[in-house]
Amino acid sequence: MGANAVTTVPVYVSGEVLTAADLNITNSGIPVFATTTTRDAGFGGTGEKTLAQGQYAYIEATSTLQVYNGSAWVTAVSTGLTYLTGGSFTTVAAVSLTAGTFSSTYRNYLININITANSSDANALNWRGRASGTDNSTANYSFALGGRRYSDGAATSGGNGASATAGRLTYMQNPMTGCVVSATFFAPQLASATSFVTSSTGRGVGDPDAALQGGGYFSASTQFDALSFYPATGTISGTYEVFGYAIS
Amino acid sequence: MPSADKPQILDGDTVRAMTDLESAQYEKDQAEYASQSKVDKARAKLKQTTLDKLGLTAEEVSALLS
Repeated sequence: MGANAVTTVPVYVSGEVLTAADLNITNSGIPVFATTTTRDAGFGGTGEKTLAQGQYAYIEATSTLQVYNGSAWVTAVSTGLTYLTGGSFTTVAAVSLTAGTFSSTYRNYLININITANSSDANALNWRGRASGTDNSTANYSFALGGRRYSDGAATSGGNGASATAGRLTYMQNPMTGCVVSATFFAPQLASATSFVTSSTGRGVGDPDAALQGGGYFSASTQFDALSFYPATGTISGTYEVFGYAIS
Repeated sequence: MPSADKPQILDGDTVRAMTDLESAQYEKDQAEYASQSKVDKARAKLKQTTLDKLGLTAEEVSALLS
């Protein structure tokens, strides 16, 4: 907990003698809380302010400024993209986003993946939608990837599939010295088809390094609350970040 | 302590072994991958055989198709 953090937002009564300690609680302006848990505990108790629309709070744990809109705490300053989750992974066979990453707060999501190592080269990086902690492996995925080789600009394929059991984000190089993917998923949380577009470094079998672009969709009207990405075989290491696109 | 028997997965913030259900799907995916790899290798071999018959290099074929 930092120097500005408080655990209560007090309310004073008429005639009450205020101490320096009382004033120090409020002299940071917007109340600063260590976490959303201490924020919630700071309102509505005995001697505390009743939470109401327009109340601001700063959360140290996430370095975010929030405002209460009358029914929920929301990010006070919309930047277009809001960081939702991310992290690093080392020699894992799959990465599954936290359940609830996709919600009604956002419609579309940006996922950036930086693969720094893999155990098997010339290897697809796939994705599957996820609901309530389970990957969806039904044959409803379609995708196509293609691009140009760095060396001569010749066309190269990153593969394609229809009625596949997973979508494809890229095709990792052989040997792989690094692979980055930036993909946008459209409306995964809505009861409609989920589409995606992906741009990446990668390569097709037998071709030199290339940049690959592509996309596809999951055709069923399944509401996903997360997704998993994974190499077709072996393990991967790297980092990832997920962002929500502000709706307005 | 993560299990050494099943592949590891990063689930949110936690590294864990795959569940039985996930592991079964993983094995299925690996079998599909092995099968597809055979197809890809056969296709690459056919491509090279064809190039050899034509007497063209891959670069020359690329130039023809670009």
